[in-house]
Amino acid sequence: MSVPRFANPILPVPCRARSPSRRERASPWSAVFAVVAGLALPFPAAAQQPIGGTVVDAQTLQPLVGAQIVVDGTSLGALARANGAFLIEGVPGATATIRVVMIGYATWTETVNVGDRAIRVELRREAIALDEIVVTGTAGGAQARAVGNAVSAVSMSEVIERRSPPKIQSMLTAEVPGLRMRSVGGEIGGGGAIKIRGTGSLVLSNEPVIFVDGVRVDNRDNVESAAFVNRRGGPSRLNDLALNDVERIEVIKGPAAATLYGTEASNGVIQIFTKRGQQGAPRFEVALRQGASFLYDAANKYPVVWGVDPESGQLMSANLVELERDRGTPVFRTGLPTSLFASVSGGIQNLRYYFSADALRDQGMVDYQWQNKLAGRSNLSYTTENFEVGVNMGFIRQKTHTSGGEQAMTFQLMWGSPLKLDGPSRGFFRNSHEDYHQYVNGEEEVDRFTGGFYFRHSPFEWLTHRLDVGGDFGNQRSFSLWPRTAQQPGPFRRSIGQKDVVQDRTTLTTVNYSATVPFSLSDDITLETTSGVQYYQRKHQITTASGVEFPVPGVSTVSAAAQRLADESFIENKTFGVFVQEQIGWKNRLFLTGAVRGDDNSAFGENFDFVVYPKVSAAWVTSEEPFWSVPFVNTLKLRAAWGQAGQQPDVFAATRLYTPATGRGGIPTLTPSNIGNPDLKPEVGQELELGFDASLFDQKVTIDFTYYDQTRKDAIVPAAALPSMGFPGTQFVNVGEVSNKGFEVALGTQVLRSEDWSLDLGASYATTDNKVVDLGGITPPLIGLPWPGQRHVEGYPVASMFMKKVVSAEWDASGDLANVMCEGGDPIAGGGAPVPCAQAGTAYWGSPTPTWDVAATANLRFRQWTLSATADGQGGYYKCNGDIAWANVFFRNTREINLPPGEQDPILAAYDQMGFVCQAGAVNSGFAKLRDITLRWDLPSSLASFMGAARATAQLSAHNMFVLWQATRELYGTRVIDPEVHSNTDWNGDIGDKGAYVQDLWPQMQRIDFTIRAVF
Amino acid sequence: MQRNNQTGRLLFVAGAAVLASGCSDLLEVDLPGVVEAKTLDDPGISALLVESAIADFECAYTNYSAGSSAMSDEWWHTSGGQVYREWGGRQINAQNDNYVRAGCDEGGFGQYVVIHTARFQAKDAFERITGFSDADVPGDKNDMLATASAYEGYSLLMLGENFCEMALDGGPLMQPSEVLAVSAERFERAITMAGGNDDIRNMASVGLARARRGMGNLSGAATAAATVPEEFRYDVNRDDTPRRRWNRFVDSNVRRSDYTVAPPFRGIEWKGDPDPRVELFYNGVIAAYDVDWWQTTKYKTLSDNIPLATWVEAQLIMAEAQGGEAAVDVINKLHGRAGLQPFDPAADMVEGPTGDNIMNMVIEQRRREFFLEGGHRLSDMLIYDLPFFTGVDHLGREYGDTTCWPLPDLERLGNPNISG
Repeated sequence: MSVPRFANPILPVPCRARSPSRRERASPWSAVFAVVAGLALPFPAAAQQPIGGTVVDAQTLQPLVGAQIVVDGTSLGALARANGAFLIEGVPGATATIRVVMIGYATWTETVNVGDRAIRVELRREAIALDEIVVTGTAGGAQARAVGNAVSAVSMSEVIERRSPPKIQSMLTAEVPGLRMRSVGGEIGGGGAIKIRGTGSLVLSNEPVIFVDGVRVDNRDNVESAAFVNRRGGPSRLNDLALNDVERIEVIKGPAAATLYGTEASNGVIQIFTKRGQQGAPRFEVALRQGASFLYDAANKYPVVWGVDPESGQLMSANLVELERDRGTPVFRTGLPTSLFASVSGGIQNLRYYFSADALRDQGMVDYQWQNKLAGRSNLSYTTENFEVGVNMGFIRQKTHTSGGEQAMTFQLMWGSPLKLDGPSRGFFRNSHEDYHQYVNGEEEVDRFTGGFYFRHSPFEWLTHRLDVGGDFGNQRSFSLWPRTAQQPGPFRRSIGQKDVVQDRTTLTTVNYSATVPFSLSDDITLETTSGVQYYQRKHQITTASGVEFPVPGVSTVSAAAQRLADESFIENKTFGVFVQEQIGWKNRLFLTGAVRGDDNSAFGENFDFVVYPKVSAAWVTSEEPFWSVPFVNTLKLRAAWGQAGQQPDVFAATRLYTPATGRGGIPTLTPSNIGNPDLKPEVGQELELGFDASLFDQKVTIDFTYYDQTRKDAIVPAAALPSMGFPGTQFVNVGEVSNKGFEVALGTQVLRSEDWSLDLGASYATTDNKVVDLGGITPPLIGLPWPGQRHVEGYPVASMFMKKVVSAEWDASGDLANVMCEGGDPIAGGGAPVPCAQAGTAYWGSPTPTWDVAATANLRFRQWTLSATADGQGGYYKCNGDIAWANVFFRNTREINLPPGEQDPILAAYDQMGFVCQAGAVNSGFAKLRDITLRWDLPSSLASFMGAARATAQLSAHNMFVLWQATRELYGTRVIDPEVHSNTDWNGDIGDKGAYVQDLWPQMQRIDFTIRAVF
Repeated sequence: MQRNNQTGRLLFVAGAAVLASGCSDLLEVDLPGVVEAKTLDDPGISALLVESAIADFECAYTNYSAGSSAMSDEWWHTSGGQVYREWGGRQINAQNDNYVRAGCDEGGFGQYVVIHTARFQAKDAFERITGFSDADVPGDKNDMLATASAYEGYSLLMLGENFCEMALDGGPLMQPSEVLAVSAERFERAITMAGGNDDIRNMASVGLARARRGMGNLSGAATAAATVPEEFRYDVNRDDTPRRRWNRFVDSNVRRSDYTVAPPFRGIEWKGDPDPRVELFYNGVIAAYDVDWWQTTKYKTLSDNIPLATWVEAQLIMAEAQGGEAAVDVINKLHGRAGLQPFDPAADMVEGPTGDNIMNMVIEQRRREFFLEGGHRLSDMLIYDLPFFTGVDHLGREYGDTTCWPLPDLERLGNPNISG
């Protein structure tokens, strides 16, 4: 799960002797030309002989498709194809040394005779691949043995075979311990906020930085889109990426590892590497997926709605989902998602290519939710012995259809009433599901190009340097439209006609240069110096327009509306960083690394110029020491890392600002908007990470363990500006401290492995103890919506919920509430003896952020059949379930609240009487779900050949089928529909990813996929 | 080999240093959507500074007016939104974030910050323009200063009228009468500087009368009110876009049903005729909580202006100060203006035309004339200790005990001149 174990084909490779070959001495410009000219460029035929053979698993003798074969000292190589076969043309000389690497296997190196086409390579599984290269967190890449911090590496092809996941975000959660996603539920296109190792910042984003092929990309996990309600369930740009193009993902989780990424990286880094071609004939891959998405047992998922008939006084109830189904107008349907992916990759002489196209149609559980996506990718590279130049380009066009900005249909079900069954809404709160289909329309279109150019050059034996230049250019257009209906008033309040439009243009630019100088001080001691500069630029331009009240039905542009609003915002941020890293190796077993990075950022205050982040780490492969004599421990690597990384303030936070506003008669005016702080500087995340990677019992068991102690120093605290000074809002000051401590452990066991059978089990568990350590004497105001009472309090998790808490109440003989007592003690945190509620302050309820996550995997193979299962879960947090809260205290449609006095839960009755909202919906949260279960059949060669394919698989996957455990199933008798779903933010949007309030979200739908994948 | 290595390292370090030294220009960014404070030092934008102060005042005054109505006996809350219920239920306390910090484009009726912003803007405009040389200020500098001063006076008036305590610019705790005294000074300065700007002078005169009335100086109030010409009216301008310029009465009571007009203001008549000053609309539509949705017709659209200073107000202040026959004359002037039958104290007052009864009639006239207007009703309830809604409300919940608005904890705890 978190074992660093991947060879990286785009890395700077170790310096080799220069070849006299004329072609290999060609100038870089000819290489650029070659790339531009692409496949059309004629190459001279090679005069040398080929090398060929087969790669298989040493134990199971199964062919290892995708194993990477490299001819040392040349740029030649290939990937093992179906049946494990490979062929490398044009190998010079009489003999050649070939290396075969594959994730999870020990590297195989052998000198072979050139011309031999029957080389048999048997790779031995290696639980911990110490010699593989990891890129993330290091300058230019390093062997896993030399890396002093944990790097979680996810092989996408392996995950696709095991899980067939629909989205990148949902896939990552179970694969990377400590990475937690808050799913916004089952709405098509919805994303979710990702956090790694908890919440570090009180006010800034906690989103990790994301790179694709070395280029910084849009990492927003809650994009403003008119097609989604109030950003509560908005999309994540991470999910734009086409899954099938991804080769692997590396994740580093905190400042100890992220130092070299500098400012913005203290929340962790996700590096995504896309697929590349290998030398050899074209390799075609086709995958066809057909699925079904649905809400299983919907009638029992949604709670029955209740009400008291005012005439008869009788308690009535209705199951709206069931009633609609019975009358032939079901609320939910079965969506039929489908996708087709095709790629071709290969290499002609020095040119490598990978082209792909991916077409997807996703459909949700209601008919107005769907998404069409078209993605294309072209990765080209030209490699010689001493330089490599490449161009990576990915394009995505995506269209998502929703019910726009209208409050989601789910609330119509939650807050419906049996007393309205005979009315036009048929028992729904106000609108039937047909209204959502007919009278509101939301769309989001995304065009996104991510591309980069890289140039790696080894001009001397002692120097390798690399330049990456690239960008991520996104253009998102979204709208929400309520057409004017002929009959007024229409079904929705906005049916007088309204259109909201959002255009979001995002540009991220990356320039990254680094150079590495290796040096051997002696046979035992090696030095490697790496230095580099980085420049990042980020621009977001968001234009919104809104028109209200169309004159007649049929018109639908903003300009056709009677009232029009427009807004435009522009944000630009730039970072310039310089780093130097020195690594000292001793006998290839002990490695010490020290690095320093300095950054300046356009958002720093004018009195603050430059920040420096240091880092030191050590890795010791103890099991390779001569004194090692623990027989059952095959590999043991101890690691320790300490480092810092930063998080820059919001773009304008340092500056005293006025905002243009409209004055009387529409004239422009200025209004104070931000009091500013010229001393504002970045938050500095500091982390100590200790851990080990071990394989035991003949490599049948692996353990990765990491303990981390993270402190966010100079944390920005929102100090409310003294209101009588006249400036609104808050002043950001660097006086806070936040800590996150915990551990991550991942276990893997190879229970059984033979030619016919294999069984692998894995599990991971991660904890986070999040705490506000210091607020610098400031009492920050409540954040977000008022109901959950979220605030930052020293000694408690960030943005915890503090609300009055009734601890006891009872009904007296006359049916009145009596002895209503609340938790007393501290006026904010409570914790004391009960006192009458009028005298009580608030009390601590819980953290809005999960404090632990767990995942488990199982792979059972019998010959060509493999059954895989993945489960994951999170827990230890609280949220305010607004659906239940308002049902109890406002819409009064739960059974409990409609019981006569004396029979109601007296605690709920007390909350109701005092008008408290979130207390009536506060849910102790936690869940575990069977996330994916997949049955894969590797078709026999004969059958694959019949299809014309070299290899083919058929895969049946089911997703989100069962909730295995849920901390709270019912609250005051009302079901918690999906314990996992959580809003991206609240209505105000200013609480970011720390919100505890949840309302109107769709439960996650179940999905079954059938996929056929073939390689030709 | 080793020498090469050293050379290489030196090159990298040197290269990095060169790049680092040149990075300052790389980090220049555009801020096309915001204005830095230093921009305001330009005398050429003096008129903009004054208009900005007016715009922030208009935002604040609208919130002040609607918030006052929500807490007085003019409205009942009928919203699911908690902030509206807190306002209507008189549950605004010193910790209430909406009351303290919400802006004009948010739900509820943020008061403390928006009013202070308005005050700061007017004061800042006055001070900046005063500091500019006459030659550098395009237009009539004195007129700008008078306008800024008058609007600062009104901002202070709001802070002194319905709040329990106050602080200005991080200063010490002040009682309402002290704040109103500062307000009166600003109005007097505006009147002095107004020159030929009659609108500003008259508006400031009404403000001065209102401030003095609040301080209990009724004769001084009457003196200022007497200068206001007949039918004078000066408005807070409203527009249907953007939201901060909406008429919040329409937004809360007509466009949405966050509030319904409360029973004491339904069906108000004079001698059997409906009083057009409190005209309502009700067509049987039910708001949330099964409450009848009574809407005002005083304002019909989001862009309907709200009166700020009127001859009517000046007249009623004079009536309040003078009482007796003078007050009756004022009442009858206003009745005639509204098309209502005259007020005859001897015939219309069962308990006789005593001074108190006539004063009650003046207060009643204020209730009707200033229905949903400028926070007057809440101010009168505070001055005359009129009864608020108490006990269990129409939703079955207890009313709170807020009357005047408390000094926010944010100020009390954060202001070193108060917290010590």
